[in-house]
Amino acid sequence: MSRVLRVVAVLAVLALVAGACTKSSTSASSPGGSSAAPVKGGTLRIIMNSDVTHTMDPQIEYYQLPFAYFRCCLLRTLFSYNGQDAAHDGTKVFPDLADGDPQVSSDGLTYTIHLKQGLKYGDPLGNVSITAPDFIRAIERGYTVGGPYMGYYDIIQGASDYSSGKAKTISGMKALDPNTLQITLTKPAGDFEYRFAMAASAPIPPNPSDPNAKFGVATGHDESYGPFLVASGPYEFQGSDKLNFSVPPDKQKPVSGYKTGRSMVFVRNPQWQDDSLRKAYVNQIDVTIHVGEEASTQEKAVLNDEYDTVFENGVTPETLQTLKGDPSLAGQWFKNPSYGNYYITMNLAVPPFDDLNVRKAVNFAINKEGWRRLAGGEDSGSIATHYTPDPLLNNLLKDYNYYATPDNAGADDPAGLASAMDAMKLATKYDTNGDGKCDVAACNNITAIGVVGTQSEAQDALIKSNLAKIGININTVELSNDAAYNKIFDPKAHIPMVLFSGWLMDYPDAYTFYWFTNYGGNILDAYNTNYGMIGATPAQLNKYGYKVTSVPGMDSTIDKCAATPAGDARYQCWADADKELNEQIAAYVPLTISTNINIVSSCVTNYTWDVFDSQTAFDQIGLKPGCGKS
Amino acid sequence: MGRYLIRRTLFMILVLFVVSLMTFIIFVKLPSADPVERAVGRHPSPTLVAQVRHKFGLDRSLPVQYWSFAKGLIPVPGLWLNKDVYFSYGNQVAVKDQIKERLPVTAALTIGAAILWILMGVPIGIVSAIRPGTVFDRSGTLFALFGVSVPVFWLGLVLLYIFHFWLGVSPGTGIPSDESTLQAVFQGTPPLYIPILTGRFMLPWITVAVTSAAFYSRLTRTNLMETMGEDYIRTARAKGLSEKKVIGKHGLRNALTPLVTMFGLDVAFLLGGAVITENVFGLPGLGQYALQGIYQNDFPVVMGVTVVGAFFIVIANLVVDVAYAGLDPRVRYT
Repeated sequence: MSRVLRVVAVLAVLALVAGACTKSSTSASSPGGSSAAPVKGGTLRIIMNSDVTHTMDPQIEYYQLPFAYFRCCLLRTLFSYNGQDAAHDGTKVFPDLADGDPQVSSDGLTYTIHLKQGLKYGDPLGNVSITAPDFIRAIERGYTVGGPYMGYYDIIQGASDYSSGKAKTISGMKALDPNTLQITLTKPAGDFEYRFAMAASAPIPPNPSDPNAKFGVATGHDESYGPFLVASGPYEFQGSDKLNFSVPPDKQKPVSGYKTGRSMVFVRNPQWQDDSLRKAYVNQIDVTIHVGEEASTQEKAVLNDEYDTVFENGVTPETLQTLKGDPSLAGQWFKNPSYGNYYITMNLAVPPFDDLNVRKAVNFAINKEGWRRLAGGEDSGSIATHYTPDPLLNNLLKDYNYYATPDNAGADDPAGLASAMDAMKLATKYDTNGDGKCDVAACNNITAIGVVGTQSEAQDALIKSNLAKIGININTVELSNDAAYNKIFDPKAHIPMVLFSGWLMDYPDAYTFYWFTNYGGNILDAYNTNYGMIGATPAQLNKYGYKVTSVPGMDSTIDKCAATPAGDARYQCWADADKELNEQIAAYVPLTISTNINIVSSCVTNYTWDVFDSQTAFDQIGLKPGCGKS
Repeated sequence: MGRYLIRRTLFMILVLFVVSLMTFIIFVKLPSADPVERAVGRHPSPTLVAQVRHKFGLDRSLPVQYWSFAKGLIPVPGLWLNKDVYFSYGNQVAVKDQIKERLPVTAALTIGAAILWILMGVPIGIVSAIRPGTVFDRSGTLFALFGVSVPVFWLGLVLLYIFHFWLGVSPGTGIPSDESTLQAVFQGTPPLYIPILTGRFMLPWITVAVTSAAFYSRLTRTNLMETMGEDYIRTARAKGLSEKKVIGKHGLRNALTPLVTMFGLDVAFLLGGAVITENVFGLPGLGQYALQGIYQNDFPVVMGVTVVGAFFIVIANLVVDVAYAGLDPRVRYT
């Protein structure tokens, strides 16, 4: 669950950042940007105040920081991204190690992928070609070491048998020849290319000294292959040339360019070639890790040109004030969409939220603009009128607002309150006298889980006052992040309302916004992320002790969209799914789509935002000649 | 002496076990996130959850879990912080390796700060004691008041702001990866390049030293004033010894003895990790590691750093007690 927690932490930081700001920008676009033509060379200096989570192991890391370094710099995958924003096709996948689009069988189950020829690994395996078995090795290793997002590969035929130990290989992955990979799925997946753009699927080379080693050079490094990583991207860890795979794994020395918890140094991979996605302008990338350091100190260091960027998803209020107050810094900060959302969840299996009209009334009642103002106004994000971020729907729902109220003020506006009350009147089981207010015991003392913090508690209080206007009286319980997740992950806890729900994509396809949170078939006994119990079967409801016997679901819609090939039809399918979720299920009150603010030094040119990592694209930016580290 | 040392060593082991048990109980009893939750990702399969739980040893009974950690406290190669149990739940890196890598940083911070606070605190205390009521004494009082009042994190940030961001004479935070701890201590940084003074540890040293120096100056002043009123000091003066000798040889020796206890424990305490200072200055030491472990609910890390910190303290206690007897002939080993 690491990524989910971090996502929420990231969003919380962002919200805090914006929280202290009284002035908000009126533009959602970047306020500035240095766009001087980039030149090759220089050392990009990145500072971070949090660390990667699994020492850069591509099969185990499930976090935005390592994802960014893998994509930009160290690893190439069958398909990948161009490191751009949504307006420049940043949400699309392109062939990377694949030599063109895959050939798909008529039933949509078999993908045949031809690899680019002549590509080789970085040091110390500069003479080893990247071949088809290397991709199979990566997926098999992912299952063996317990990769946290291997669920995306469960659709490969035989993957389940392999992961449960029933089979020694994954039957659905075959190397037809060194340059041709065939992958057979158990069901069609329109986002196939996205799944094979993730780091877990990046090729692992064989060990020339031990060709029988099951996981090639990663054999014996189950705890972490990261410090022994053989690169395929434009950069490699400094000292990769000294890696010695001819000795037993426990005798191998890790790369000198990675000091756990302290620093990473990427230098050019001499074998890198034939890559149209990554520009790789800089010669070297120095990553400094100062875990827990004050964010404002790091931001000051960036504005002081001691570092070129800080790897975070927002800036502190004081830095934001500095940026806004100093026009000379206009080219050094950027507002970018994060593709993460905030929303309130209602549990469909807990009264009074088992009634669609109650849920609709709640949607009308919430003062979204007030909620955002408490988060810092427009700098914190845009108001969400539906669940999925617009770019993932190709903006098909940009003007859609089913629960529109004047100024998005919900029940704090008379017209908004009237809409909410009108909806409540239709819930005759709960509004027995038809006055637009819930008047039964089920609407009193409803537990709503939030997280501690001045800002979040103020937001919770606003929600409470909004709902009181339609007779729903919630009892807000604010807990630490960890404790709050412990509660809401448990379907047996019967949590009626979650006030701090948030989600971030794993890759730029709407599927990642639906599969984990809205698919009834995915409700788990523990670590359940479908807090709304959407699509729970009567058997599941009974199993978890709910009195409500049926709830609405959208599993068939999700299945349909998941199988739809990428393109306009897929966008339309997910847009329709979003409307269904919003209007027929209404388990959520979408609040905001969050915004990131990123800063760079005055040395940086050609600033580029990468959608996939929701982060600065380190492979696309350049440095002014002679600027920064000599 | 031999029996005394054996008894103290056994007592030391007992303390370590008690500390480790308390740490374990806190971890088990306090509401916190399940470490497995952080490792398994979104929508984990029950098989994966079981796999990770087993790997972390969390599928065993609590006494068995504790015993596996407790065995790691026995200072024998292969057992002491053994990698099978003492590895980070977060990144799977062995705690022992991290402690080995980070200890020099914490040691450099501790030793430098200790030298500094002794050089600051003791002379200020002496001057205050021998010139009571003068401007020196009042300045010393003011310094002590400032030192004990000022929060460490505030002082660190202010020093950083003034000397690094404003005047630009001191280095910023952290230690570049291509610099060793010794280089960070001794090597001057731009623009002044003055060794040690513009090294990466100068501001952290001052930050840590100011608070301790304040205490030491007060303690020195009180003890010295008390000692200077003793009969044997009057006797020394009556014998015609110079005031310098009276203070230096007879006064200070007795006045400073209690400081030895305090110094030993303070140094040991810091060796366990100067959490705030290391975090303010981005120093990759034990304190930073401990905080990271606490944030991430990473029990093996917290346990490892805690017992290492406790180890330093009990060792320092022992050393101080032994040294005390040398300094004060009245003290006997019993």
